[in-house]
Amino acid sequence: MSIASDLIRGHTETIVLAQLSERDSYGYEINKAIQQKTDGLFELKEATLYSAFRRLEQGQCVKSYWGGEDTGARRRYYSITPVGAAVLAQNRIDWHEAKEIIDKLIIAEGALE
Amino acid sequence: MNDMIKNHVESLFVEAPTTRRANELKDELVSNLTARYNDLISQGMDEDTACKTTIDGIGDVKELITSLREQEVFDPVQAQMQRKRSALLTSAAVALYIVSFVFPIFFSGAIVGRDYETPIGIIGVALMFVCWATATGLLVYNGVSKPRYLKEDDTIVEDFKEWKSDKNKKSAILKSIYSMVYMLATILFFILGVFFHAWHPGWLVFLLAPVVVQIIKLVSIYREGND
Repeated sequence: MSIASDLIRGHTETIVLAQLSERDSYGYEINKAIQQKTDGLFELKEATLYSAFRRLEQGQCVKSYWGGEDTGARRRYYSITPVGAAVLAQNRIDWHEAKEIIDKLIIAEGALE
Repeated sequence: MNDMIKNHVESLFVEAPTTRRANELKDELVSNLTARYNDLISQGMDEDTACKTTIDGIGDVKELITSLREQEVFDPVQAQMQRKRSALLTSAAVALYIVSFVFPIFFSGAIVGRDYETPIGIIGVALMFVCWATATGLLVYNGVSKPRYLKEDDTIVEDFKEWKSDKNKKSAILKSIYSMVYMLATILFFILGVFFHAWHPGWLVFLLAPVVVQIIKLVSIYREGND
């Protein structure tokens, strides 16, 4: 799990963008969706998530706004920008290419069948 | 129990600068952690475990806290680019003002002995007006589109900088309005002279223009006092 999450960490921003491409969302909701999609195998640390938000916001990939109050505290929502959508599309292509290459390189012959 | 989460977040932010951005991040963190905690409770987890799980899920905030210390508001590269753009717009406008006089001179009496009233002479004057309008438009655009200084945090110095920037911007807009008044006066003077041969009483518009400018100034001061 810990080694796998090291591998995944480099894709945190892409994962967040993919969640936001479905709809505007806030920190906990995104993390919960990630947990549910992976059947509880993976979740982001809060610190990792907010660092990703900050970098995405600096890169103008996402925009944030304060939504309504729910649990007594203000809730900050994030939405994906056209730049973010373009970055996501490119990252998806990159990932497919990388996956194919790594599959070819590290999987023993015949093991794929 | 909510207090425990809040206190824990406070303790994480001890080293963070006390800026508005840090406070917002703190609020955001507390709100999301509370949502998570409530969720765990509703799944039947007991309070202590839920609290511990929530706090464990925060992870290492070192990078986040460090990022709060970085200055993002002032980007030297961007500022340099904006300065260049502003200089370019202003020089283009000034050049247009100067070049504009070529048209009436070229198209009319000064060179070929024609009068302003001939169709070709009028084209020259019209082109000059177009130049003035474009140049003034550039100056106004430059004044209005200059970036506003966004305050970085809630200190008095930042408040002052923002206030000063707002004030500068306001006065830039006023200045372009004044120059427009003078330009309109000039245009009016030429129209009166060329089309109605009223050069003589026409020059009075130049006495009128400063009066109009003073009235605009008064109105703006009065409105500022009301704000």
